[in-house]
Amino acid sequence: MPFRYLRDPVFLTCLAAYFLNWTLEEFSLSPVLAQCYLNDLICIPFWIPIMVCVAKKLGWRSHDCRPDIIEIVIPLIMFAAVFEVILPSTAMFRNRTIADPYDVQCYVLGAVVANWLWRRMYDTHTASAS
Amino acid sequence: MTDAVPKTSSRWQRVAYAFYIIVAVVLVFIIPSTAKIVAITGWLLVWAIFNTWKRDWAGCFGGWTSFSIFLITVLASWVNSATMSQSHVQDSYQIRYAIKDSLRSLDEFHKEHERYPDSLKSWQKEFPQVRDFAVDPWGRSLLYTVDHDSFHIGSLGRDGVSGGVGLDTDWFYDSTTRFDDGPWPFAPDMPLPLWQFMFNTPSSSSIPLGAVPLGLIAGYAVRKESQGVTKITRSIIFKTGTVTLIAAVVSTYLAIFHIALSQTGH
Repeated sequence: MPFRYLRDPVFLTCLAAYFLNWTLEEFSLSPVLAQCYLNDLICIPFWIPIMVCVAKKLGWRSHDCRPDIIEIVIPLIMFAAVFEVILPSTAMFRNRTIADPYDVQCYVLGAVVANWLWRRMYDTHTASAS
Repeated sequence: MTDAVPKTSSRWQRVAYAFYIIVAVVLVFIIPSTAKIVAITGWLLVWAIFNTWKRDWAGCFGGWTSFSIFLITVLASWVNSATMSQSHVQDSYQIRYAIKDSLRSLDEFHKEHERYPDSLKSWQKEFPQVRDFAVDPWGRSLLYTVDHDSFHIGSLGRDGVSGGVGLDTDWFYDSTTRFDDGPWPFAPDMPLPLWQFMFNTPSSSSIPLGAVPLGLIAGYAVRKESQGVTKITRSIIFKTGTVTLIAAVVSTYLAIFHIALSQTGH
């Protein structure tokens, strides 16, 4: 089964969760835990489908398989390093970002779960179809 | 690794990988905090380098993934305690406010009795709320000594003994050098915490408990999905380059638009 890119259920779930949390935050109803960690948790499953979609449109992706491990791990490492180590160390972003080790763990958890879900959804369908 | 040739790992590789995981997990539980960080970082690094040297690409990718995740977590923790509102800065502010509130209370006492209290007990007897605010960030009552019309009040720092640096610095206010204007000229500026101070705090020393299992799980997933890679092909290099480029663009976008609007800073 080809990857569904921006119609992928995991991506759409993350999108819905993001807007739900954003709406709750506007009314100060979002729990503190969600305010701090939800965006980090859904960061990888939210951005990877967009990124592979862009790569596909640019002709840099020759297949429609689910995101592979390179497409997941490189953004994971980059986002974690940039947002939790590099930016909080700079004078410009020091007061705007928090270097939180638990954010890194949320990125990893989100990536591991998303990879597992994508494996189950897309690999199972491919196997049963063949 | 869609262009890889499927290949199962050999028995010795599985045994070696099990050994790698067992040692990493054992390190989390048996070694004291500072040495633990060094030991785990070293162990993950040795494993990544060993697999790279053996050209076991699945193990190599998995090893470097685990190492990178753990290292970034440790660095994030370091930056956090050095720059933001976690233990170091929080403790620093908490003790300043404890002393500030105490001074206000001592002023009131002085106005009423035209002297300062003889001891902490007599002060608490007159102003019971002192028990709530005259406390350092480590739960100990502030130390108070009086000599005629002057007094000292403060804390011996996290270690509770005289001397020390970082969070162990002694914080004392001396009424003879009191400044009524200006924010806090008497308060010593605390130096940035050393590695050992950061990892000796309970919140920091618990980081490996989460980072190591998650790093190992991510490394295992990478290793499993890279099983068929027998050499680094041009398509892998091209894919790595394009993904890095797109991730850099997304990072820039998030830094400019998302972080600026974020309320929590996470």
